[in-house]
Amino acid sequence: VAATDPCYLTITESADLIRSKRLSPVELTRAYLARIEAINPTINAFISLFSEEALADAQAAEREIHAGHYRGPLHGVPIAVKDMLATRGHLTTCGSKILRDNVTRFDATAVARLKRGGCTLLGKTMLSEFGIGDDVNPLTGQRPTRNPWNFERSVSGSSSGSGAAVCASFCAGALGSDTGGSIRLPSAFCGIVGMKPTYGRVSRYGVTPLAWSLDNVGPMTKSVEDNALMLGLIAGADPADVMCSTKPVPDYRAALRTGVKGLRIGMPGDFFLQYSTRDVGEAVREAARVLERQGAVVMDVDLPHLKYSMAAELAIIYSESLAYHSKYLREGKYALYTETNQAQFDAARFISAADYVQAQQVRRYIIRDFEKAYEHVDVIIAPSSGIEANPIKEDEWTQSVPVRDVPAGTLSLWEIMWRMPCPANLSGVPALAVPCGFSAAGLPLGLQIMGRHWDEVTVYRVGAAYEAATSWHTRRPEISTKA
Amino acid sequence: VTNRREVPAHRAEGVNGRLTRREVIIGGGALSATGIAITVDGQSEQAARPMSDATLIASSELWGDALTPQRIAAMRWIFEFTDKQIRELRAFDAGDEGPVTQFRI
Repeated sequence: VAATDPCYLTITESADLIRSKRLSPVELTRAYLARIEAINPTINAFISLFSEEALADAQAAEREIHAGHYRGPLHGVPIAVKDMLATRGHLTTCGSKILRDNVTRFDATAVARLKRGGCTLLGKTMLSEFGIGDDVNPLTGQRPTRNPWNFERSVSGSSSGSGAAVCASFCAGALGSDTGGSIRLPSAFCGIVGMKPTYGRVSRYGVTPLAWSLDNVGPMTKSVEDNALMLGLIAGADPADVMCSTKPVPDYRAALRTGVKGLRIGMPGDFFLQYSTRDVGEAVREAARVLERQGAVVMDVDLPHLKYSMAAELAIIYSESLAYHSKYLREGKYALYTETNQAQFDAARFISAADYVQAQQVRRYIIRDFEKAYEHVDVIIAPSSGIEANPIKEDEWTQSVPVRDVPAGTLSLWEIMWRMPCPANLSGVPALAVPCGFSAAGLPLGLQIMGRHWDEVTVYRVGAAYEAATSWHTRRPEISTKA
Repeated sequence: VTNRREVPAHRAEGVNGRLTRREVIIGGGALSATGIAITVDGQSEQAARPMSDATLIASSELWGDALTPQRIAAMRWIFEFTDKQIRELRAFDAGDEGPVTQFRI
């Protein structure tokens, strides 16, 4: 595909061309659909495609724009949505055989807001079953989603299809959900930008829960500006989600070009970097140096209770997930779940009510740790993932556990993977994943930028400053259809 | 009190030396998560290993879907991973700290 292919454009670039009528939304949609048709059979990023409806929406957008009714920067821009969010008149399978015939009659609030902004919905993307199981397309049985940078590598999850779709330029941006890293891990593995907003910033109405007290919806994009733009559209009060905040939504793009001079950046060493591979650790330390050279002040911060965060995260996710799925388990549908979910449900039965409450108590300490840290720093940086994208064969069920050597010792893949994202889920702070380099194996690495509650503006500001000083986000995988 | 020698409680930073409400409550007795290991009046019974085949099978029967040893073997590492995390969680003394809840005022 030529470098001038419109599929490679960011949302912002497409919007400028569409607004000035130099790019037709119909032609842009056709280009994405053609690319999906050619390459998606290898990558397996989509569960369902809305080709005819997308073209009709693009034609409607084109008519509106030509008539002078431009709705904004997403008008006529093709987007994909994780198949955990309801879409009116379409299947919402959650990647599970249990819901393979589940046609939803309404749009999730985040989807409705994107549509209101004029975007074209291309289809629904793959995910780990119900956000935590295995990646299997419940309609075709195809598994798993493959990393566009290397087809033998994992995309991670659970927003695997959204990550792969943005990375492979199947869409301009996508929606994902993040309960324990499900936006940030695929973003890191694919070399894209992913935001887990402050808990309660984006409505979860119409989003199948994984764990109510940890779930977030957020955008996955090719650039920080695109991400800020999408979040601005989907964030804000929604009476249909009682946990959704009524706080006003600021202009997330307002501070993108104001730099980081004078900003204080915290770097907690032991919890994150001691549990990251050498490539990841070096990339994140170099990212700190890049920000320092732009005038930021980087300092150590102490978050003493993070050492309990993985345990608390696991207790909460497993407990709330088991509670949600109990209705299906009582109906005798256990055998319909993928192996990973079956095992997790079995393991979840050994987590007591007291453990669950204890985990929620631990959250208070972790929240307080972050609040204290933010008295001294403006953002905290860490790896998005402690490892590069792992080989897909390591995700298959065997009796041996894949491990990695990190400074803290030899640890299982799981312990390293869960470790980096869960503090932001437990504390509810916003956390942005941005590309920060490539491993020796040529795979993307991710930097995580965490901010104060409701301060996505500063998080985006740091992300944009880092992005402007580096070129990692401009690299695209060379995708061959010969897998 | 319960036998805490095997898994020493880590007190939260900043908590003073007084007995917490939790310590007072667990002084009388405690029932384990699966109802299998019971500790009463300072007499600690031999706790069943929470991830042993027998315990896993017994628990799964309560759910109406008994695990087989073969299935347990295939999933052993996820059970052990969970067990490790839960032990770490239980080792933390959260004191009188209130839990995060779904309620928003």
